[in-house]
Amino acid sequence: MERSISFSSFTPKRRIRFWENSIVRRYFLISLLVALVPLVIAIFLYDRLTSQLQDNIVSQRYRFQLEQVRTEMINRLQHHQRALKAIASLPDIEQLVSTGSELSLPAGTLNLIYFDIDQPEIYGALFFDRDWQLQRAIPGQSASGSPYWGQGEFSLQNLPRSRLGSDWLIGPQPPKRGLSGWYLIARPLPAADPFGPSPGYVAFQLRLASLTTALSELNSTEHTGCFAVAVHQCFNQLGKNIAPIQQPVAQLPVINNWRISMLPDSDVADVWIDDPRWLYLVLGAMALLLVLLFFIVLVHRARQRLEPLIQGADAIARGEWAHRIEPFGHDEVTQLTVSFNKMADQLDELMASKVKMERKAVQGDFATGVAHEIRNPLATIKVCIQSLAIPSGQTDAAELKQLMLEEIDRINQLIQNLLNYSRPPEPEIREINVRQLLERVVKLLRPLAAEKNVALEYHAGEPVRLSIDPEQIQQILMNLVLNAIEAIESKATEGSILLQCEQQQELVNISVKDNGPGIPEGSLQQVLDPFYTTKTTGTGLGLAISAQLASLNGGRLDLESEPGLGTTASLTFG
Amino acid sequence: MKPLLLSLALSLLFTVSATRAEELVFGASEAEAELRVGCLYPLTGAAALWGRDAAAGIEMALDHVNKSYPQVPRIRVYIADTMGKQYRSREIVQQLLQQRKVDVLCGVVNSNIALETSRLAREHQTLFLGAGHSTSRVSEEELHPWYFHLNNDAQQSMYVGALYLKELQQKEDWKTIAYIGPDYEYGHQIWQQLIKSLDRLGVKYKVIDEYYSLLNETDYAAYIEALSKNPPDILVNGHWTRDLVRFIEQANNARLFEKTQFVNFDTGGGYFVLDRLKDVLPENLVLSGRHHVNWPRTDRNMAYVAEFERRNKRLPTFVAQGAYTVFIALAEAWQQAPKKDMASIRQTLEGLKLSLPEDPEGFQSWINAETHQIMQVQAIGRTRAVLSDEDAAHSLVRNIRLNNWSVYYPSDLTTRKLLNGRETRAD
Repeated sequence: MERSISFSSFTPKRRIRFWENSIVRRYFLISLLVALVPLVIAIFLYDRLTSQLQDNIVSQRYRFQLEQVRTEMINRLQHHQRALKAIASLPDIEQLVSTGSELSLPAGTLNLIYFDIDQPEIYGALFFDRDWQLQRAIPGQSASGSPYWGQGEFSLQNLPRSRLGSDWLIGPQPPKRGLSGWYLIARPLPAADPFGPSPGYVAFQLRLASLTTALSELNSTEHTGCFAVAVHQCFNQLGKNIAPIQQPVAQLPVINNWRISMLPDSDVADVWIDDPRWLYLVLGAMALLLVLLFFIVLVHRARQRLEPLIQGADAIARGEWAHRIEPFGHDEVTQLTVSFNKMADQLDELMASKVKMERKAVQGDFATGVAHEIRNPLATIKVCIQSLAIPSGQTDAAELKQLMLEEIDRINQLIQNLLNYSRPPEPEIREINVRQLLERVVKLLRPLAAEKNVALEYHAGEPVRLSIDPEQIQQILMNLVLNAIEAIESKATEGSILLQCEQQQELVNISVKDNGPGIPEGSLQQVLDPFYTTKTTGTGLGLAISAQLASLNGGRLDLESEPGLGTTASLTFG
Repeated sequence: MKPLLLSLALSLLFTVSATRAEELVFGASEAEAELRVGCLYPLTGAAALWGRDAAAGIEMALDHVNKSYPQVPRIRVYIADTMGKQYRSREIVQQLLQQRKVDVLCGVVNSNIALETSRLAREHQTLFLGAGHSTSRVSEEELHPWYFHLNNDAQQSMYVGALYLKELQQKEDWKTIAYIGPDYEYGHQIWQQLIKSLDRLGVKYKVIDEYYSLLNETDYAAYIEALSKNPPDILVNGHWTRDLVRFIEQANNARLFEKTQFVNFDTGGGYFVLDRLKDVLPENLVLSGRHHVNWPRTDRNMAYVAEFERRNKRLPTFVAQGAYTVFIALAEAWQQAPKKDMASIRQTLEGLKLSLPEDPEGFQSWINAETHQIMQVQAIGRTRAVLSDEDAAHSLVRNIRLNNWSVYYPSDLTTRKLLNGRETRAD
């Protein structure tokens, strides 16, 4: 039976969906989850921790900066409070809050007031009666317009007021066109009677921007320092009232409802880019993405490796026994491919053997039937012929009778061979010395060989022992030697036949080597098939039976031949 | 008890400090003096240059008066050092009036001190010839018969500035304007007067913002940053003296002038700023001053500048010119007064015409009889990197890089009466 083996590489005949019913996908997905889940958890925890840490550090920094600014503001306020306290304690100071009276202040009193307000951040000193009606305004070096000079509005109405110890904080008054923002610190003047009401107040009108300049500590590329008293109010470092459009990131009360805060700078829209935390998160996300892509590529490649195996299995299942997968690489899939090919080989052999067995069974049944149907009449014919009385002297008839009997025997032998091939006898295994076996075969056949002018020798070397059926192996060897003699005879040259026995590790090899004409290259594959013969008189069963017997004895019969140089038949036992 | 002790100690301190204050005296001896003039200028401290320039101007004026006004009595001038402090100024005025028995008060650079001194002059019925300060309030709400303002005030400077901006708008179509100036009377007046003048002239504009820096501010970074974020087409500046020099230097370093047109119409073109900035003075700034050393290029002005330079080894600031004007006006009034007493002199000063170095050819300064405000020509220039051939050839002013003048005469200020009802009677 002619068989051919084909190798296949990956050709996607059947598309397997990537995300469906794939163990590869499942394993890789699990692997991916195993890799990603801790990574995501780690990133999440890291982000939370760094975020909290950063928030803590930032809030502490904000707090520290706000505390600094508050301290500076309070120091400024306290500085003015001390000056106000000194002025309020001056003798006859209450004259300045009385209406319409002529001043009879000591010379130093006014000078002290002028001295105290001679600072750029003080617009002037204001004196109010107990009903907060302005009675006098003494200009400082930064005074401007009303109430010091000229006509103009000056009112404390609608200005926020809060206590600062025993003093009052009034304002701030936001800047107006052509005028700066200001606020007041006012101190009640002491009453002449210890239990009487205060006659009025002395106040400093102060430059708002000199207070808010402390906010410069809070200014950065991300934040703007803000001072406010009312809601939706924000005085910046320059004392300008800017509309706060965002919630403060941090704030701190200064005094009562006076508070300072840090507003996010609306001009810095992309400030998050500078945040290292976001950088880490982006890097983490990129790492996740890369891992994901890497796993997808891995899955794809693994599927590419496994796809030929799947297709191969499909092909085998369809009965394409000759389908093989070409292995490449040096990994587990390669090993699996090699194993698959081995399995396919074995399966192929098994199937061939099964066919052969089935065919032999058929042949056996046929042979048994034929033998039964032919042998009985043949036996009758033989008996009849033997019973034929040939008169003496009829030499030709006697020869013919003898010839018929021999032909009947030959037919019987042929039928016996056929039966033997179809139902070979069970070997009777026992351990023998191969040398003795070779010696006996040579002794038996040497006369015949000599007759045919063929030198028959054997070479046994070291003693070799084999567990075989000696009768069956002897039958094989004799068959091989007889075939060799016949082949040499047909060559009509001096021939030689050498029987050898060699042991190579676990293998024992018995060979029959002749220098006959050899077997044509086209016939070498078929000479072991039953009924195949190149001889005109052969049955074609000799070598087939020999190969079958070798197989029954655990061995194998192989033929090697070079046309014109000879043939070597090898019996190999493992 | 403690406050009483404190006040006594401070009173003593004031007395001692005022007594020990530096004082310059010029002119006739104590015994020979027929007319005593007491001036208040800073002679020490950060603003001492102004006082020194005023003293040099007074000295030159006295020499000129002695030479040109034979009828004028012998004048003795006391220059008291205010140190630029308001609390000292009150005490000094009292001392000048009571101890030095001065007939006339003069001077004062700081507008706030000028307003206070003017009030004291009114209280004591003493003639106060103001020179050096700029606020127009002294000749408006605070005006009294004894006060005369002998240099251009903020209202005049800003009205001229508004005229200049109106012409500039016709040429360059500017739309937005912002202001920065010192946070006191002068700085507020400059902006208020400019806005008022722009409105009166019908100029369309949008105010982006206004900023008031602390007097004697040293760091303008926050203001410059705010201006740079939203630069106006026109940036009006009301600083003067070192504040102005520092602002220009810092704004120039921050490249603010590449984004906006800088203008200062009152003092920026004076010699102080030009001298301090010299070669680093940025180009294309619009500046004006109450006196320019290179304008008008008249013989009298050049002679005045040259004489000042010969005597003091430096060129004069506008304060020197103001102090000089005081004594020329006093001498001229004395000469013209029918009676040689202060009441007559005061009346003569009203509407007085006088020739001054800062007057261009064919023009005489005069004192508005109603407002007591001197009326003078104002020139506005632009800074240039390259000197004009005329300036480059002039040994005196060759380092002055302010030219390309726009000149405004008081007769052009016809709307002035619309602003506050004051007439320009003598025009």
